Amino acid sequence: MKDNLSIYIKAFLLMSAFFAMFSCVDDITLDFPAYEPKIVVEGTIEQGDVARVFLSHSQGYFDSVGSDSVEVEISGFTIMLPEFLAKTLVLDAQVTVSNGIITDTLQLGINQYVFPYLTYTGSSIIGEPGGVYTLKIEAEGKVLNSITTIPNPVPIDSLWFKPRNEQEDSIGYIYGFFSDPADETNYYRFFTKSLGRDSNWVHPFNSVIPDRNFNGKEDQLFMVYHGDNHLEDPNDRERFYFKIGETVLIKLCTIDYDQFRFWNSFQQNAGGGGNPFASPVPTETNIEGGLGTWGGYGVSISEYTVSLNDSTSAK
Amino acid sequence: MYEAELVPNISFRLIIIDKSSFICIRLTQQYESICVYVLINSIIFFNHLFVVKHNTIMRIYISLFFLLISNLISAQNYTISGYVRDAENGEELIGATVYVKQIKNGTISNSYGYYSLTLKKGDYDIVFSFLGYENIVKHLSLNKSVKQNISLKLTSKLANEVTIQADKIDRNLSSIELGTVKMPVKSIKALPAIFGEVDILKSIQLLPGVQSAGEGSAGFYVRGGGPDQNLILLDGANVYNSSHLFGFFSVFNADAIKDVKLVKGGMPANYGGRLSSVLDISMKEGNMKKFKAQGGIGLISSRLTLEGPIKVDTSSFIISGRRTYIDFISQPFLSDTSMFAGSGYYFYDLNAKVNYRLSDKDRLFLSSYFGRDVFSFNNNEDDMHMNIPWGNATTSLRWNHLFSDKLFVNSTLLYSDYKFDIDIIQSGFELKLFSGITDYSYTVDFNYFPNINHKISFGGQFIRHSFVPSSVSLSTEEEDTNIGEMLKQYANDVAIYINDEFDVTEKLKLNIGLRPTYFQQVGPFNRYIKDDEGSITDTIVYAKGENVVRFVHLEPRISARYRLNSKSSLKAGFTQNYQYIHMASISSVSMPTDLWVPSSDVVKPQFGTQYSFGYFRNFKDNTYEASAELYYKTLENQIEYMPGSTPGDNVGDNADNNFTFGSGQSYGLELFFKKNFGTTTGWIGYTLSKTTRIFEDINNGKEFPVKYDRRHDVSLIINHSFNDKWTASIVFVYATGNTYTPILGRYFMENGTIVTEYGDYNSYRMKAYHRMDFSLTYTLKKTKMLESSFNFSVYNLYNRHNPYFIYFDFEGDITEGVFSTFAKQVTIFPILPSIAWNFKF
Repeated sequence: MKDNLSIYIKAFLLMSAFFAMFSCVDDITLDFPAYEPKIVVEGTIEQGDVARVFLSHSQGYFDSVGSDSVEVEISGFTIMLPEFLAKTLVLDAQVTVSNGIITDTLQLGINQYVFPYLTYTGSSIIGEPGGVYTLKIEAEGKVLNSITTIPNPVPIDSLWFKPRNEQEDSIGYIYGFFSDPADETNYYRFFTKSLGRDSNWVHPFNSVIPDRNFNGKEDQLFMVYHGDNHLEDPNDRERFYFKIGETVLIKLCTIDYDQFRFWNSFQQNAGGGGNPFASPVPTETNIEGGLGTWGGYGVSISEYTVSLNDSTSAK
Repeated sequence: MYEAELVPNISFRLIIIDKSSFICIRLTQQYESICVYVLINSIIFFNHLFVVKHNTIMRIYISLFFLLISNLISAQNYTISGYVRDAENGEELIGATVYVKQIKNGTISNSYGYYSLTLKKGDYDIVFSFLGYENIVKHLSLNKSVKQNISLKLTSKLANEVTIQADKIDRNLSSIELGTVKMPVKSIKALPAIFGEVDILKSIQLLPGVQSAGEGSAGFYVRGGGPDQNLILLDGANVYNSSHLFGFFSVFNADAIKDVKLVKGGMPANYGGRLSSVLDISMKEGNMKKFKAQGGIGLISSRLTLEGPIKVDTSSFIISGRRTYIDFISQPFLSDTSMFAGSGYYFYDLNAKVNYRLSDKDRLFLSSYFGRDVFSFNNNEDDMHMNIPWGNATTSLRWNHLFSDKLFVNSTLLYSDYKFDIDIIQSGFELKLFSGITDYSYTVDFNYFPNINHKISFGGQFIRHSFVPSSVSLSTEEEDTNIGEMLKQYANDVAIYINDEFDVTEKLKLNIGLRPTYFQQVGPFNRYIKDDEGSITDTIVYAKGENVVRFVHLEPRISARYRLNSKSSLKAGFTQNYQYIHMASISSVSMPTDLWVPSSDVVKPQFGTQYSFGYFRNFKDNTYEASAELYYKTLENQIEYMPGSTPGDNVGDNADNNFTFGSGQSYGLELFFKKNFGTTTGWIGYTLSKTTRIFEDINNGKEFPVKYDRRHDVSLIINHSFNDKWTASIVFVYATGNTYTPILGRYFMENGTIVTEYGDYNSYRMKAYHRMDFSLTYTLKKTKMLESSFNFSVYNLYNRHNPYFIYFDFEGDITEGVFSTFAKQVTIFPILPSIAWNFKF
């Protein structure tokens, strides 16, 4: 869907390019007011897992990022961090999650794979389908609140590999089927993880879909490509494809409407940010008092070894 | 409703609208009575449908209206009537003034050059005049009705200046027209032209109250209305997209155009269907006397127009073509082996018209326009081929007939079409997008001139619309995947109107009109019902011809002129309009991809109300005219796409399910000062205005300024002829910068993906837009064979870098800790000199 829009824009820009022999570009300074940083939440509670919350600060759009390093003390350890990174960190936050019965206090720890490298992790509450989870964050004199649910998971029925084209048949996409429940409105989010390539779940750029065009359909086809793993060489075009012989995990998540709205606007914002022709798409949030999202995920995972001419029923 | 025949032969019709009011109309001639009778009855019918739910004020208004209409009592009167034409080529002159000295009153010729004046028996001096032509004064002893066709001669420059000035007519003071500007093509041609192409749309944007959204944006904005709220008519046919290359050029080839009229306030009842303005453009008829050719050769385009009589003074033709050759010029820069080989852009226009005078009373016209923009782009490295054609086509067949010297009728069959296609082939995938609108319509317009104090026009219009808001199909080498059916929408659009221009006293003139309108969306149509989260829960299927939704509305129009003295007058106007078609723009700039959709069960008709008030004063024997106009306008049921919608959201869904609805208002002051005569002519216009919108889903429901909200807008135009050879002109424009939404902050999610945080919608402004253009024309010595001139023009003389858009760029990598963001401003047109050679033989 996003692609259509970018085609329009591309067409327009190219057409203008015929006038590019005349046009010119100037650097300008914009007179925007000073920016007041806000707290950004990126929190999840998955079915069968504890709550995980990343916290960071937003910054002014024109704040430049230098290469200076500063010392930061985290959980008793002193580490050197780039100055801008240190500025984004939210330390000493009181983060709690409640399922209505018990309250879990999340502890700060280090996750070396995921920017901004610090997570608050729960211990006593494990996500369950149908559960309702409230999040409360107290930091820097502010209080942030949010609530989410874990919808029932939907299993993946089967998976197979589709080569990119005849010439390049060792890389390609994964296709699959699932059956959409007829009696409820569902929203899905896809993740993939190639064992050996990815240390974390990654997702295609467009990772959320609503069931509005296929509600209740059995054998709903879906296609995924390998998501963007930031650690891979960005010039490698093949990194977005799955490769014959590798073993991958496909994760089909069910999310609620707030999550869908957040991620849908997130995708569009990330796609259109700064695009002069796109109408600005503000990113939604379900965090009271801050930015970002707090979301529950129903989870179905299938393992699949990529091979040609072989349809596999998912486990 | 009660009707009575009171006196045989002269019939009175008494029609009771409601208990408190009645009308009576006396009609003497049978055929006139039929026409008027049918019209009045249809209005009563509409009224009947309407009055039930309408308020008392409207009822009083209607009663008053019919009382005025009924005041048509004539004494021993005779009629002088005929056509006003150009002596040289036989073309009818639209809006020529016919002025009776003795009674200090007169009329103007209609859109077909016809005039009719009914006066008491007596001696009269009648002055026929038209700007740029020599006046003719006829002395008449009126004791019977007479036909008087008049041919006016062009004034030769500088000559006879004194005599011309002596008879200058104060049309802007005497006419009732409020917020109406006529621009003769001759004066448009005197303005500086970009790349040698005279541009009608750019010229009207130099008038106060008319704005462009800047270079590179299609459409224009009148008194705070959107670009879809302008009714653009070419020989009566709707033109849905009035520009080429995203607004760089207009679709109107000035060589084929006779007359341009813009109505921005006080819209008379014969126009309707749009809220903000009417741009009524008439094509030339073709020279009735002799064969002529004219054209021009410019840097990026050329034009050629041929016209002449088929039978002298009976029938004539005109055919005119234009094509750009940017594609040929750019070819040498794209070698066959280049990555972009085969890419190119061009547009062309064709105008053609024939007309035939069947008799003194009948005339037929057939006119047609066809234009296309074609853009193709190849990226051979990525195996990508893109072809994008779009454009308009219109045809009108019209018949002018004189029932009597007092009743003129024009009836027209019209066809109008706009389409936009994108066809992209990449690596075996083919993606097609299509959107368009097609209209078939019939209109009939009567002009009835019962006596000098009344000018009545009435008529009706039927339009059959078919819309394809958006259709997408995707196919691969292996299989066709139609992602959605082509969802067409059909609608019937009916309007009837009656309008009377009425001299109440010598000083007070009223123009009062009523336009009942009816709009119906019909099947076949599928309506997808969605819940709050956007899921389709139900589908309503309408069969072919089945009613989906219908609207009936009454549009009152009233304007008044009060003549204070021989030098000044006051004018005021009130109009209400409904608009049943809407343009949805997915991008922040107006593009050919904008979709047209009808009012539907989801989209309510746009509704606009405008109040305007003006003071008009002339100086120095009408050499200078000045005016100050105030307006206040409200707009209801405006549409926008929901934030974040994309064209793809229309797939398998009704386009209008993705809209959000709001309202708007605009108010402003327009000052205008113009010099009409002499070797130096020109004007200065200034507009102070404010235009805002409110949408529940945009900017958190807070009021925001529109992109083209202009606090200040100035235009200055000066033309000077030094002698028979040299003329020069200067244009200066200044406008407050366009608004845009600032990006204030950023944050990182998902392992470093940058999310931008926007400020309030349209809360910041780009730099002000200003520019000066200069043009110099050298007319070569006229020979028997050829008349020709060179035009040198410079666009943006002092090379102002006006912002087209602002974008943000960054350097470095956030994960590596070095990152900075810059704002950049793109200017499309810096200083652009050009030269063109224009000829006539």
